[in-house]
Amino acid sequence: MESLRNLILSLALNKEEKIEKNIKEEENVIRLYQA
Amino acid sequence: MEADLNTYNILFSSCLNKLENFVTHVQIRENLILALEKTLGKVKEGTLSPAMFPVFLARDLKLENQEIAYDLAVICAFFHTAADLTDDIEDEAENNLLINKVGKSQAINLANNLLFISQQLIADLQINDQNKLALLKMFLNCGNIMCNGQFNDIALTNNSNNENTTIKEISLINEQKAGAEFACFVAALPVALGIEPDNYYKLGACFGPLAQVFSDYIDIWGKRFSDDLMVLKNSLPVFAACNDPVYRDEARIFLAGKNDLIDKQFMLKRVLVKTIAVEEFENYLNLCKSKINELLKDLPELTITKKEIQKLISDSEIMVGTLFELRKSEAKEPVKQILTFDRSVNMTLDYLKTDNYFEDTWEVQRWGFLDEPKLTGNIFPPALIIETLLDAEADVEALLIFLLSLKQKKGWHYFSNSFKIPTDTDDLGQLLNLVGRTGAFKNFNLFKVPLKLLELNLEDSGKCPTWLADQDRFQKEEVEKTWFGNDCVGVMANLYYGLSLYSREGYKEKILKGIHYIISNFDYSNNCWNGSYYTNYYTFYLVSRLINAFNLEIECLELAKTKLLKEQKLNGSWNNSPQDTASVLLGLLSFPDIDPLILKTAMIFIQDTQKYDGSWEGEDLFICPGKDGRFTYYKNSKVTASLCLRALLRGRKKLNESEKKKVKTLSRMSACTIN
Repeated sequence: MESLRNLILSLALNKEEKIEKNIKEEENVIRLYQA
Repeated sequence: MEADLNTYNILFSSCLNKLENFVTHVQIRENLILALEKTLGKVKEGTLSPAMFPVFLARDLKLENQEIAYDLAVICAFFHTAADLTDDIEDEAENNLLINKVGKSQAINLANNLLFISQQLIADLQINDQNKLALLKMFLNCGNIMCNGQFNDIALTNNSNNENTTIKEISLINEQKAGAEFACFVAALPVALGIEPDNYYKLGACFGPLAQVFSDYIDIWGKRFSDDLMVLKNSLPVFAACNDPVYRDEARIFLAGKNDLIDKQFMLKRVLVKTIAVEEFENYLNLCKSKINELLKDLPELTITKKEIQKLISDSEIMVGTLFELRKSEAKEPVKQILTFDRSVNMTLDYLKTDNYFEDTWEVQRWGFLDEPKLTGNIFPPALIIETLLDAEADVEALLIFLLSLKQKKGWHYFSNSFKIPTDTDDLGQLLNLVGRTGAFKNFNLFKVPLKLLELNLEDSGKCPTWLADQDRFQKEEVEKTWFGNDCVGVMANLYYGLSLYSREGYKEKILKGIHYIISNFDYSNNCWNGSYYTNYYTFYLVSRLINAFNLEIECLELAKTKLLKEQKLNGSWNNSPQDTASVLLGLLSFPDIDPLILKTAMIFIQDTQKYDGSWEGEDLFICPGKDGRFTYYKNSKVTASLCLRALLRGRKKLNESEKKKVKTLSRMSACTIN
């Protein structure tokens, strides 16, 4: 699952970009994994 | 996915049908639906709900009649939702729609309601009585184990610095909570059908904790904002990071204070990835993998169930691999946190400026206490603040003159405008402290009468009463009977410490007697001193600074210290309270040595809880009369701020000293190398 890897890396590495770029991807993955 | 969605729809509408049967009250039903939507809604998004296990297994076992599987899934859904809601209430979750809608009390009631419905549904199942009883027993046993797990979980979160805790205990909590629940749900169908459930149970018991651990890691690294980091839940990654042989200190310092900012959480992802949190996940995953493979060998071919298990395992593998990758990319870029508390100190000093003798800190009684229209306690609270200002080397002369000028014939009365209360040793001790430290007004004979009166009141045992009896107005027996808290070790410690600053040699014998009395009042069952007026944290400070001023090695003081050291929380605080944290820290700072990690984390907590104007929320400090003769607590944001500031100032001094020591040692070492 490539998107999980991308999400983890971008959330920890791209502080500046993260808010714009990753919100959508994050929401998708969170929805998948929320306990 | 489509098939899952179909399953979900059937399951959810079955739950609604049952609700129609059991709950006639429309409002209650709506609330229960809201709770069920939270747990079952995940299925709609493609996530596994443990309640689905009976349905998966029925398909795997190719049962002709799948109705029983849905009946069991509904039971699991109600049971799981009850546990989930209870968990959210106990964790004080902020984003639970139902709790936010109905409040905690109703939420507890609704969680019970869900649980009873699940039990009623078991009773109503159309299966033979023997299997039904076995099923009921299994659910009850599971609930019992889960409650034990939750107890341990809450206890661990509240007592996070306990060095006796091991990673095994963290795993045990996962086994007791998610493990027991998944085991019960996976074994539900076999038990209901009279199939030997043992291996199914074990499969669930292994799968559940892995799902929980994965979710704990996703919470930190798969979300921009982690709820677990905010509340510092002692999950496997957090616990492992805090016990890392190399990065322990760095991780703990980063975790201390408030973790409610995205920026801090962003840095935490990088700090925590350096620690053995990643290796611990890898180890756990490998352990689960081999256990699951062994168990699957002894079970019939479970295609759908196995697929779900495989998905979790492969996602966990990706997670572990990515975290190692992240660690490598971080290797060149170490994160450093610079600890200065200067801004916080300056903000507080500005906040504590006064041109009215700290009038806003005075304890003013307006309700008619002692039949007086207005009593003004304007000595003690300002004196506490002045003591801190002395640490900051501020000019306190005018303030001190004001306090000393409130003296009456026999000394200082707590309410300076009334003679109805005898003079007291707490005010006296606090003023002796200030005058002793500054050396000001020492020759003015201001203390001659009060000290004489004190000497008449000191007992041979070393006991020093709070209220000073005199020959005319306040007779000793009368004082003992009338006035509250005449035997308070906190007050005594404050008095003897003040005396030691005023005239250490002159009163040495009396002070040592006093210390002896205080020691004899130690509460060995709780390893603390119980003062009548102050919180135990503040009393610890008062007693330890007195005993340590004489460099005495006292066993019970060590016991009190050891107990408190264990109680520090991961956020660096004691009791999640800035004032209690400052009190304990000041006590610890009176010892010759303090663990720098404890010092730094506590200071970070104090600093992080400061408000934008330099203040802290006022917190209960000492007992005072409330309305109509009830007791209440005096609290004031300036007094709390002064204690926090005192802790920051003394802590900062200690940090600077140890930095200097380090530099000295290093230069000595390099000198040796050159030689």
